[in-house]
Amino acid sequence: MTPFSDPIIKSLKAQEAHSKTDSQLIEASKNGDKAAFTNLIRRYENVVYRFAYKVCRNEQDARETLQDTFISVYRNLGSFDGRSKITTWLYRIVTNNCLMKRRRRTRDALLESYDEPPIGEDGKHREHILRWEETPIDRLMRQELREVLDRAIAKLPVDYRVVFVLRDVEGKSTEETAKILKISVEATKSRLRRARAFLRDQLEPYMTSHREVNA
Amino acid sequence: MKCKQVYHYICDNLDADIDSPRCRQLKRHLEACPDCAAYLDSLKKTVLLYKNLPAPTVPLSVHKQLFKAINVAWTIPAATRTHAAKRKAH
Repeated sequence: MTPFSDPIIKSLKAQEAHSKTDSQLIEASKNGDKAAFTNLIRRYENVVYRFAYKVCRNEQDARETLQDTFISVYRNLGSFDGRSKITTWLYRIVTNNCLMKRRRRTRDALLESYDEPPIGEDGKHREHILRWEETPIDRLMRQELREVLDRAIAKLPVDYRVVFVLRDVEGKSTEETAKILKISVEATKSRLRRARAFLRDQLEPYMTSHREVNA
Repeated sequence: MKCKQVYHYICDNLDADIDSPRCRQLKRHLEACPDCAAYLDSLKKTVLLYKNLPAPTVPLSVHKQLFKAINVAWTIPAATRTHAAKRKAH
């Protein structure tokens, strides 16, 4: 007969799992340690959910992606060899899930114009670039600006959105972003350039005149 | 350095090391060209706004649903795990 009750053993296992590294948790999960796997989920569920939300721009898709991602992780534990970081693996699974959920509504052609600077044949700016207002971060709490930002990024095709989110929002390097998405560094830079310019242009009416961007 | 070069360079390197020779050229251009300076500033602000846009944490109901699905998945043979786990969890 065990001297400890089941909840105490569970609690001790959970504490032990809490102090383990990601690699140790993955190895233990591979060997059937459920406490290790649930600890891994607790460690990364917010990372996965937030990233899924930022890419999918939709709470329902983010919820489904969260669940799909960890079930996929569980199914494929055996194939994770630990050569890359677990976050690289997670970001890749989330991205694939989001891409699968979204049909490519907008073709690349939409953003190709953003390769060209707003500069005319004579080498001068086609129009005067207005200075943007100062944007203290607390303004982000204002629903109006949040809606403008949401609408703008929702218009960005998901292939470009995911590069922008990984590189500029999550702060990944260009190389890591390319690795997560399994695309070249050049393709990553090109998509990032277009995505930034597209978003900037979407926000410009609001940021220069305080008028909302037309949806 | 011309505006067109500046455009591509600043798009690739918003926060590049300002002491490199290329960046010194860029800085000189930006000091003389208010349009390019305004463009760089607006790109930086675009990134800053999205970087600081709050994102939600996992709602409790979603957390519970996830663990329910994982509990189910844990008991199912590997070949049929994904679809069966999702069906049972809902």
